[in-house]
Amino acid sequence: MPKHLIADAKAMLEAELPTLNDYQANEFRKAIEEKEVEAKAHADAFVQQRVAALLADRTEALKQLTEARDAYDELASEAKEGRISTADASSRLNQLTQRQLQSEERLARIAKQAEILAAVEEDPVAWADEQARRVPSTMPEWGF
Amino acid sequence: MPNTRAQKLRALAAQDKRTADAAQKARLRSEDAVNALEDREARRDARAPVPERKF
Repeated sequence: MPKHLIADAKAMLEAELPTLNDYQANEFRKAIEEKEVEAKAHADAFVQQRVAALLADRTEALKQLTEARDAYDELASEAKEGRISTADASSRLNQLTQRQLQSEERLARIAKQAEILAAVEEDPVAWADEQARRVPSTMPEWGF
Repeated sequence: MPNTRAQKLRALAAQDKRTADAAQKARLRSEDAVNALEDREARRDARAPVPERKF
């Protein structure tokens, strides 16, 4: 069976509409609607799965970041009161900075992914077409 | 108002910037405190008497 992107099928319908009778045009439209429903369901499942994973990742990253924030305050307090040597203070400061930067990078990645997923939600059909473009074997099959 | 899953996640991600700012401020306070500690130790070392030679 022929394979087309949904956008291409819509373009074909537009182009061929003047030559189609009502029955053919309706069948064409119905086929496109069916593929759009499938694409939306596929995109919805993808977004749901990714959001769940990213929310879990965000919880971890936030925990790591707030722990670093609290540890910075604890270190500042110990340094002010002279309860720690400069060597230990510097070493802890470096470790905390690493943890802070790691969790910030993690949160930035999550924010970027959230933008991508919001775009998928906005236009799930375009996303499905993009996936099919990347992996042609997943391109929808049509009766025309 | 965000009303889809991804929009909600995006809104949460925007809020996380406040947590990141708080962590950054805590880092600066900590760096100041550690620098002050180093200065105090350096001054103390500079004031320490030089031990007398026994021989």
